[in-house]
Amino acid sequence: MNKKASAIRALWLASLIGLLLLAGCGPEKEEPITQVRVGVIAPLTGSIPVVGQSTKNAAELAVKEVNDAGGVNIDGRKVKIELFIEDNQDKEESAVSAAQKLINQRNVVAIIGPQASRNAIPASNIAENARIPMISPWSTNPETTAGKKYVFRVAFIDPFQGRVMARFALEELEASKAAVLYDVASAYNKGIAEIFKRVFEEAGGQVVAFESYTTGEEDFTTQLTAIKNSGAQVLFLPNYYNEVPLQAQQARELGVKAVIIGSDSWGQLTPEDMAEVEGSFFSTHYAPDIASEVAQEFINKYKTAYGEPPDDVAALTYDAFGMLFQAIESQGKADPESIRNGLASISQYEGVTGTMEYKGTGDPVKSAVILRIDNGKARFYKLASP
Amino acid sequence: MEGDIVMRFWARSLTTRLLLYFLLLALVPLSIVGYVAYNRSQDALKERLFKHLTTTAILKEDEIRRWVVDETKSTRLLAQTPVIRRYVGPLLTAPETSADFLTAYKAIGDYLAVALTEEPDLLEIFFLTDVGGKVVLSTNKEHEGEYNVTSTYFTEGRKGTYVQNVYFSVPLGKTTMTIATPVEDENGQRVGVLGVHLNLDRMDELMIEKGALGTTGETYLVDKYNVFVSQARFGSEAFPRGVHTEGIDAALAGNNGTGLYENYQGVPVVGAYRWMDDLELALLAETEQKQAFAPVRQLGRVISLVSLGLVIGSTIIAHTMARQISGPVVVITKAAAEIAGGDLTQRAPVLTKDEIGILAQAFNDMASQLQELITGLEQRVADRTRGLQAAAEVSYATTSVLDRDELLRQVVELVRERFHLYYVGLFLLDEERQFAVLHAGTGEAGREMLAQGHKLPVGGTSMIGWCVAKGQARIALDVGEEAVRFDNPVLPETRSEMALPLRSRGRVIGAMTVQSAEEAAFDEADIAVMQTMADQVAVAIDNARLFAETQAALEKVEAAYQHYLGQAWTEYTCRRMVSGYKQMGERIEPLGDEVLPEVQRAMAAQRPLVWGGDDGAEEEAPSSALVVPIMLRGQPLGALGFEEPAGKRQWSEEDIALVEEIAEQLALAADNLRLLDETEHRATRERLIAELTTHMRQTLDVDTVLQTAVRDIGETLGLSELVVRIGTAQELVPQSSADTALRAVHPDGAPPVTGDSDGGGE
Repeated sequence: MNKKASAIRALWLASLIGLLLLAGCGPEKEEPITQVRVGVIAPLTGSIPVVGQSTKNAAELAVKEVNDAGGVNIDGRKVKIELFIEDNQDKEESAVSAAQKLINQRNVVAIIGPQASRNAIPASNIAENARIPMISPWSTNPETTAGKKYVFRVAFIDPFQGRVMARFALEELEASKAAVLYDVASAYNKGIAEIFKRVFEEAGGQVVAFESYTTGEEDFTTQLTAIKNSGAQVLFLPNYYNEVPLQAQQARELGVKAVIIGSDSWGQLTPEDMAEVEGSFFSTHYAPDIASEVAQEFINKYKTAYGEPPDDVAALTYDAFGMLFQAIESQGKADPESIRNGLASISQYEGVTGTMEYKGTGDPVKSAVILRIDNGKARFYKLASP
Repeated sequence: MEGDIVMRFWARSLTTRLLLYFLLLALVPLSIVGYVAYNRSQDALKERLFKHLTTTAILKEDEIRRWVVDETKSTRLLAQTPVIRRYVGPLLTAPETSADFLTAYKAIGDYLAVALTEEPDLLEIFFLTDVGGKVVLSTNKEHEGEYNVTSTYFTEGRKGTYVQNVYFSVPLGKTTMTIATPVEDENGQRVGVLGVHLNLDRMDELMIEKGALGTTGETYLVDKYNVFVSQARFGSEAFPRGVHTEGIDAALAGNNGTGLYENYQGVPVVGAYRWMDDLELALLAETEQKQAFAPVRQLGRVISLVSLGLVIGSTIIAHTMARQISGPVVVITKAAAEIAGGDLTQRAPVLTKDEIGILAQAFNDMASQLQELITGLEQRVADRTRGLQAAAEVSYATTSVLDRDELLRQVVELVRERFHLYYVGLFLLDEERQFAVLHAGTGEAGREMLAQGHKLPVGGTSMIGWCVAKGQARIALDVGEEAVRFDNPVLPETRSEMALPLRSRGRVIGAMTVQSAEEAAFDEADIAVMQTMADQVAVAIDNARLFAETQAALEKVEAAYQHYLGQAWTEYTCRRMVSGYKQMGERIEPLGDEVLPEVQRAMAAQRPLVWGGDDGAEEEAPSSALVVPIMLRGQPLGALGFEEPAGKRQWSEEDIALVEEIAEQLALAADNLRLLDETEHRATRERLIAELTTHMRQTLDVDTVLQTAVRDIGETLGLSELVVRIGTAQELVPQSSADTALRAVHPDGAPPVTGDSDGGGE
């Protein structure tokens, strides 16, 4: 009888344990992740679709490379990357909604992009608020990362670029009078224009004409006439590739003799467009003709994949993914917080766009290159180190 | 062990089991009814709630649409206000430093400030230039100078009145809706865009009408990216990845519907959700299940309470019923247990008239029968025991009696007395085994019949005759089919009779009749007992007979022996010179042939005789003398005499006993000496014969043998003349004469056998 009694007791105990187990299981148990969802926000449509296309190409190339190798290494396990690309149409509000969609609905752990600062700045607020790490490859406006914990970038920032070009104009081109024509409605253009003006003036130069327009304007006669009359030796056009050729063309037509210089937003100029700005200089992130071994390898792969050389956006985007993968692998985790920590712990990164050093902010310290448009081609002219 | 007890209790207590079965019977339907009622009520309530929530949601949807339409209309009206039409041209086209601009800026700015205070649904009113979308004037001065080149509300607003659905505005830092409409100057020329950001918190206020949905009810809006429209209400930090619930996700997927799910706070709610495609908003109307289903829970409680009451009620009823059903059974069980324990007097009370009552009745009948059976058995055993005891007593008594007549008399008396019979008679077969003769009978009848010499022929019609002939017992009763009429005049009261054969050593020696005054007093079982007794009696009778015969034979042997002893002593004493001695003081002298008269008397009396004693037994004796005969096996051989010539002597019993003992020893010693003497005498003769035979065998010549024989015999016997002659019997004398002759030469009387065998022939 003893046996029966003990059997009944055992049954009770078993059901109790079962209940406890049932109650206990649930949210505590972390299921091993099967994929890392990464979002990309790019201006696939809108005014700068080339930027969008380069972003998409580079992102897909980077992800394909990793996935072909099995995925990112998380705690000894290979986990594939899943890419979600959202078009922001080069619009602020779309950048925001794209970020919201990726974060709230696609459940991404990190966002690469947006590229143009005017898109990156509003999106960065969303990412920061949602505590989702975001890396903007191409945004150079300081505001993108300023005061943000989760936002990083691959490009140098505009104060550096503006200073590089201001010094270049002063020192290399020996200009003392400069003119600027910029899009006042675009954060990037406006920011770099103001920095250029400040640095140039501080260095002893004189900005004799500081003309602006708003996005979409196509007639710059008024501004260019003023510039022509100012006697500027250098004309700084920190505007996007879709506007620069027209502005250069109109300037020449009006008889502006000043040397035209530009910024990294010129990177997407087509060879035809470059004819309009023959002999001009512009700063950018990398020069294919002085590419390192790593860069050359990327260039080759990109060419193989897409039939054209990668522009700076593609190179920066590729580096952004490289940094993301490094952050994931260094943490052995792929949750947003770990990725953010991984990114923050990167102090130096050897990318295809050169060596980046991070000093506690989301902004790298890196060199810029100055290219000269020579016979319709952008060629390495000078390296500008920070 | 506890389990064991419980199991035993369960197995044993009929009441408990019945109770549980009743309860089960009551509880199962009760539970089912309760469950169904509860579920049906819940379903009904749920359906009602769904309808109610859906209705609420639809109403809210309409309200929001109407609100948006109203706001759109008022924005359009605002653009056409005379003040604006008047000043908007300079505002949007004149250089910002011009006086016209400043006037216009002030006029419109003042107007908008008033308009904004009157219209709380608006967050901000602003004017955008037609080129670049620059904010020239805004009720929020911070935003002046900003460009909205790419904003949809600007690009679309230039074309016509446009409502930009809920979106997150970076400059505002919150979700908003923006209505934009082109503004024209007095000449009807489009000069820019008038935009208003709607205050969605105001829109959300439309949603807050808790009364309709109870205190926990709420309606709210979620945009297409899972963001709460009203961040004032929900906060922007709380849901970094947007708000996701079953209802929200279903609505964002473009569905309208209802459901039970957990809301954004993880609280279970009843919800209705709707997708407003035109506004790209999800509308949710929810109320907490806890409150919504309170009536059902109330019902559940009522059901539970009623059920509990019913359970208690049915427990009591079931208990009573179980007791009523099991009570009689329990009583029967107890009674059965008592009976099993040995108490046969227990009876179960018949409490009901149903099967259990019948069972109790049957049980009682059974118990009564059982009791009767056992009591009867005990009575019968007692009877048998008594019978056997009586038989044993009779047998015991008979073994101690050796006289047959006494035995027979005692037997009949004992049997009659012990078995409480009316009459017992004992018949023995006569020598010829022709008749069974009555040898003993009880009472007056017995005496009478004995006196008459009552006898019955063997094999006759009488029971005794039959019984003796067959060697079997027989019963005759005056009742039943084999009724016998008893008509013995001396035994008028006989109602039952049993004849029992007396068998000893396989032989019938007689029969016993036992008669009772009771009807049907005997049965087959009695035969066994009585026959056992009869057999014992038969053996005893036979033993008594044998004893008597043995006794007679012994007496004969003893008489013969005494006779022989007397003869032997007579011869012996004749041969002896002295027949006795007499002590006189120191002197012992042989007695002469004279025999004292005292001795003769004592020997005749064969007992000690005293003369001159105090008792005066033999008064005439001359002196105090004691004569004790010397007796050997009842044969006087002589006597020991003592005399106290000097005077009287008191012979005590001890003295006499001593003397008698001495006399007895003396007799034995004397007889032994006599026997020794005779043996010696015989041995001498044997030796003589042996010598003669030896002499006779030393020669082979018959004549020599005859001569030696004559001579040796003559010498040995001291005979002067002896004749030896051989020849056949016919040649010599007749047999009888020879016999006589031989006897003559053997004066000692020894049997002639000796001579015959040793002689070898004459």
